[in-house]
Amino acid sequence: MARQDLERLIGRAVLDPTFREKLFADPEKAIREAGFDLTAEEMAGLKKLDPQESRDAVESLAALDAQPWGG
Amino acid sequence: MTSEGSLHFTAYEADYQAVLSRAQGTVASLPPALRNLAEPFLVPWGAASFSRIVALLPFWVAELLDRALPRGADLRIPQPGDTETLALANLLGWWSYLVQDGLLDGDLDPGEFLPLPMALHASAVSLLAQLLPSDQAFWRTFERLSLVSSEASAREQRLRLEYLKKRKTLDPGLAEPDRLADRSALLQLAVTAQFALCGLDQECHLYAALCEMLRHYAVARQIADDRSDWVQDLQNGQLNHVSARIARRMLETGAMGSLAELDVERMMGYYLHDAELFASIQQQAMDACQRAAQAVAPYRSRTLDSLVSELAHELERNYQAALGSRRPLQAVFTLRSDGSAYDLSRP
Repeated sequence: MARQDLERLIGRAVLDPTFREKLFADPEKAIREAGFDLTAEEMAGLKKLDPQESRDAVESLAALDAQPWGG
Repeated sequence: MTSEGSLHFTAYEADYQAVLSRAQGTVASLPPALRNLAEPFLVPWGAASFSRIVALLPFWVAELLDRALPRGADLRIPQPGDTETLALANLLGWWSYLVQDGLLDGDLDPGEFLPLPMALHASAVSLLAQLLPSDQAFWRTFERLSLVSSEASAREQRLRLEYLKKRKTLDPGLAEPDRLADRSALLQLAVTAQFALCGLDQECHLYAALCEMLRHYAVARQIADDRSDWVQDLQNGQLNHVSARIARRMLETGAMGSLAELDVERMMGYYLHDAELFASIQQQAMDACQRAAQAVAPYRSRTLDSLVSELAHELERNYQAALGSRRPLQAVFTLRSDGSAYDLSRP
């Protein structure tokens, strides 16, 4: 997978809650639907991830980035 | 930032409520078409921490002047209520800036809201004119700082994605912290007015120290703001300081060929990957806090010290929390923290 595609995949997982849910529920389908081109090895790596741990990490980061400072 | 319990706010809550009430009264007295535009914003504006800061700055400075300067024949004691009137002018000026910012960011419809900042600005200037009708030095500074602030707004237009994508290169200065210091113009103006009211010269060391503190405070605060909302700004088509730093870094490292490739998802992926950039942005904000604190340290102002110290703590807390979230995420995607590789295949 090209570097820019991986950046985009990670960025989308942080920024798009719908994609995030799909990614951790069914990585293969989410990747295919989004049009990312992962190698078999990369897909195997993605499937090894713990869905809950991954979701928690991404969501906590997404929440931090959305934290308002108070104007 | 929720800091209403801090020393610099709690001791002055009654003063803030008095100023806020007068500001709400000023809005209520605007012609109905303008009043109706402003009224839905009064509650969030009033609750925002920066509204408190601009309104309370004259009270904090008054306390400092009272304590730090020797009594002399040249020092005028402001009339009772002058500090509150100055605070009101600051608050209305800040709200005018907030509306302009909303217009620039595309959050507010220019067709509807364009007259509102002009009305709020006119109210603020009218109050200053009542306080300082013939102080030529103040009005010269007013003109200079107004131009600094206007120029900063004009430069923001050059951070619009549609502008940048046509040019394909990034003005290196756009990511420099000095540009953020221009945001302190309103705060510096408030201090200038207060010194003029007291008959104090702008050559006074305390004046320079306060302006220096406010410049660095504005830089630190703006970095904190931009770190929390760069994604939203970018989705609105606008780079801020943090996203300009990310874009510059991506161009420098070859991660992005030209600005035509700017993409918020890629920038987020890159930002998570580049630990050095993440740390450098934090360091820049903390350096600014330290310079702000150093500028006024000799005057031992409890309120100003508390203001800067709270921002530094908030920056550090948010940084540590973000670090804590980045680490498992980098592990999740097996990104290496030295930024040398992306690899999904390793467990």
